[in-house]
Amino acid sequence: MLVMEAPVRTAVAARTEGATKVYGDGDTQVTALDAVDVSFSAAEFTAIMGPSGSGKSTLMHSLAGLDRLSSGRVIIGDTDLSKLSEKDLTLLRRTKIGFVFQAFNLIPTLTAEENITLPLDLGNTRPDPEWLDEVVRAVDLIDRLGHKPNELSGGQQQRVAVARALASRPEVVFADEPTGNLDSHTGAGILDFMRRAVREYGQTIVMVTHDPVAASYADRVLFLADGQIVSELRDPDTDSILSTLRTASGR
Amino acid sequence: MWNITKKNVAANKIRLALTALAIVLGVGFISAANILSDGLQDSFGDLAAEITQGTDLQVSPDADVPLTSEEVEAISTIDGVRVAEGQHSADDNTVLPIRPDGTVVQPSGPPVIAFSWTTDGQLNPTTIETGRAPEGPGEWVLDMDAAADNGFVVGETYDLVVPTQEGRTTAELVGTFRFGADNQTNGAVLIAFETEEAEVLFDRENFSDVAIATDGSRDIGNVRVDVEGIMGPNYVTQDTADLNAAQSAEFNSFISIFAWVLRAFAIVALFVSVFIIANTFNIVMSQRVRELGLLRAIGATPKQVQRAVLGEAFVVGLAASSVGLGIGLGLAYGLEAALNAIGAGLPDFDKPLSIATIVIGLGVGIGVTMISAWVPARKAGRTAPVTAISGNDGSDLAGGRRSLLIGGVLALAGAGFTGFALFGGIDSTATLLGLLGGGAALLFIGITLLSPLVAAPISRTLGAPISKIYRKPGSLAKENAARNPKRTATTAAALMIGLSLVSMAFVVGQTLKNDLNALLETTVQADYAAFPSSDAGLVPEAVAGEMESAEHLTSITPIKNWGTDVNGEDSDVSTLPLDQLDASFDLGLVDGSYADLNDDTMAMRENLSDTLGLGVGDSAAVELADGSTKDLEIVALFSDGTIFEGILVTDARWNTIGDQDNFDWIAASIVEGSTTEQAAADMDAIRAAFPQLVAQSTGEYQESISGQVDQLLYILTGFLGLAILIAFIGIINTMALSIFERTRELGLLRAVGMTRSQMHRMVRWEAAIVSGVGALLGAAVGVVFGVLVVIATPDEILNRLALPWLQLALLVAVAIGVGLVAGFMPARRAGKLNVLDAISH
Repeated sequence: MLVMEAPVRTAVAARTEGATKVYGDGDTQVTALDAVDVSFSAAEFTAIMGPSGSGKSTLMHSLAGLDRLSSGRVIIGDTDLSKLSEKDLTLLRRTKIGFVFQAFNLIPTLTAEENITLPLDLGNTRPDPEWLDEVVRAVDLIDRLGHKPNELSGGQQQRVAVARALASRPEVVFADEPTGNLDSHTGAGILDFMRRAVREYGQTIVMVTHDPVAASYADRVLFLADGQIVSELRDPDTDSILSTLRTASGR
Repeated sequence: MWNITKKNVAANKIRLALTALAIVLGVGFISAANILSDGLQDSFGDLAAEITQGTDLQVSPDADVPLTSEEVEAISTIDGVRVAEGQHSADDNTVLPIRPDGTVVQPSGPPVIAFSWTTDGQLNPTTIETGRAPEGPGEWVLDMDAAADNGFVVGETYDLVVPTQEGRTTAELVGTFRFGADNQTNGAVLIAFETEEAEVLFDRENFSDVAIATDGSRDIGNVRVDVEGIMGPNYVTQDTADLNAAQSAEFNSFISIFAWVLRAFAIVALFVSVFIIANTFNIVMSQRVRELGLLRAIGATPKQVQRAVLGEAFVVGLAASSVGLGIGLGLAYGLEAALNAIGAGLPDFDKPLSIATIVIGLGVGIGVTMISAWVPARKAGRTAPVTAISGNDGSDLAGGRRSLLIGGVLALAGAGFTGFALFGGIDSTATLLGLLGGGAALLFIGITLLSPLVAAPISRTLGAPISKIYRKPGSLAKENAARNPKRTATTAAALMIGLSLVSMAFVVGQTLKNDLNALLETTVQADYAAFPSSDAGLVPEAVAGEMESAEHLTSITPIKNWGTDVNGEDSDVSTLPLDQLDASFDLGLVDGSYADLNDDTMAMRENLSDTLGLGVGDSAAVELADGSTKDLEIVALFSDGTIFEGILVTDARWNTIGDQDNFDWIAASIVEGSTTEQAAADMDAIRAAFPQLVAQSTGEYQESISGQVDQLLYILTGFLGLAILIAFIGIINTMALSIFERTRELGLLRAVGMTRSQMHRMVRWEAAIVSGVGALLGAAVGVVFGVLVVIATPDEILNRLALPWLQLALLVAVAIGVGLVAGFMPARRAGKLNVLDAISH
């Protein structure tokens, strides 16, 4: 197997300082994120869990440069996102961040291969053929590259999405319920691959999920409630996650 | 949920506004045509009344019979006639005053009308304003506004162009007059001379009519009977009402043609609107399929759903037509200004919004909207209740093989009608236009239904260079245009219709120019031509003499044309100095010899000899001016591809057939060794004395005719611009709806790193590609139509087919460019999408 030369990275791939996000004002004011300080080490697989409204999606969107904080900072690698213009933020998403969404991850007019290289193509960057080959082989899509998304199964579509997220070797990959629409078997395949991407290629992945089983694939699980990090687990298993969840919600 | 509803409303606002805009413009144009037509008819009706009100009876010849002072005398003696006056009138624009700076007064729209001064106050619709009436030779009077506008001063002496052999006269302006109450001449310039002087200057032998005022002692009807009794069957007698009706009918037929031309363009625009509205309703219905499914699930019948959609169309149609009526009023003023700007010289007139205009405007607008929504409404009614849960994949409703089949049938039927119209030898203009219009409409609908077959490949071909240049955004634009061929095809079809008509006109225009060039190059040897600047005018005989004595001009060849009858066939008859024939023309002798031409023989164009079944050596009866016929032997046949038609005879023979001393035009060549500039200087010197002339080299003539053809094409394109504008509105509309439909996809693109400007570019180029598809289809269909028209038109009019490739390519390029601009608004909407909202949409 090809030995990956992982890009030189800071030990911390992404972090926040006093990340606060407030929606609305006056009586209807809602604090979605309340001065969150968190950092994500390079080459680590982190899961973020929490009940609906806990702020986990807001945290991920802010980290990923899709949403702006009310106050505080988000730093990806050594770039402070709060100082970036709209255009630079887009370019950062293109080069330093990968995405996997729950559904509707692919552009229907593009083939699987074109979808995988889309962020690179948008920047007119040539994909590294060896790395591309590696990724495609790892997600087992070699004979599917020429197919359009509507010719692929749900699991295959998500694998294409994961491959796209990895294709540009981003600083961080953010995954939002990546297995939410898949059956457990297919989902396990995706999660397994994501874990391998972290272990073997040194990729950093942050995943938001409801599913304790999915979270158990991570190296670390963060628990959010009311906009704050309330708990953290290292090398979790399903049981420890479930019990932490119970504790967190019973607080 | 509220968020989605809000977005729906926002999207619908634009949809409704843009859909309505198509109807607003169409109804506006139709209403403007009606308003203009009503207003002009009122205005010219008043004019007709002012011209005729003082004349109780008028006698004019109905055949080639004399009408001189003898007949006037006879009429005067009839009991009850107070006064009868013979009147002369010159052909329009044959008498033109010359300003002191040497230029002639000749408005480009309304004519210069010259007539004899009627001395009786009741018969004369004009009154002296300053100075006095003309009383003898060397005197003239002018209407007060023309005098003021052109700086003519009473008491001064001026030159005038007149249709005599000298072509010019000098006369003192002895007065100005007012026509009717306030000199409302609708732009015409009026000139009068004393009656006997008018007879000389207008080159007349007979009065054009005799005006009669009665003394009130007898009923006018009884006087009329006596007048008719004396004059016999070769004269027509009309009373005030007859005159008024005849005058109004003449004005109205012109106004009616004009109004129908405007309406024709409005109809094309509304036809285009049908496609756009149908497309919009189709897309919106498929976007609202869940809502429709829900309605069906909770018990709405298909009919109810269908009625609800049609109700929506009714409301849109009503609102849009109401606005359209208002726009129409504004457009009427705009059109008036535009027409005046291109020299129509319309009078001031009211712009009445009549009940008929309102009813037609509302009816057409609502009708067109509801007809357009009918198919989408039916499809909406057929929505399966289960789609409330499952939704659909965003592709447009139904269609497929069946619509291709229908398209094929309609296209064939349309082609059949059009073909029958073009080649079926139909005489009735109404039937011909009906078949052509109906056939073209069917053909357009058919082609539109068939065009999804080619929309995707054309989109990809057009998009290939764009994805080379703009990389990923370009190739995404290309694929987006190709992804829903039916939608692209329908959107492009609207543009296709307008542009195919433009392309067809270009093909016909190019062929006309090509024919003209070939005609001039092969048959005209002369370098110069002098001809009158107005259609009705002639070249004064004196000009030929001036040209003969010019140093740098030679082979002066004056030409006269007249109409006659050869063995029962209508034919032109021309004459020119036979010794100059070879120097000035190459008529392509087919048989015989011009050397045998004398006063008892003639040369004949081949097509006439074919029609008559005659050849060299045969004789044919030619009708003479006195009504008798004379057998002339055919001694030469000349080719069809020449500027002469019918027969060619000697000057002496011609004078027994035609009645004209002046020339239709004069051809001339440059003396060997002289330069073009020298010849032009000679012609300019002659023109200084005869400002009614145009003198052009063959090349200049070609250019001026080409220029006129081009001008006509531009005007036509301008009018079709309305339909083309509506088509672009359709592109904006469809793009906006597609953007809304693809919100999530656009959000995803933004999330993975597409910049706002890349997204702009992607959307704008998609619009450009859709425009390009429409333009290419339009050019192709237009070329086919144009070729068919050229084939179907007699060779004398259109013969040598020429395709204006450059213009067509330019048309497509411009359409793509305008598409880029049209894509601007949808692109801005796409760029403004909030990435987070879009992803969670």
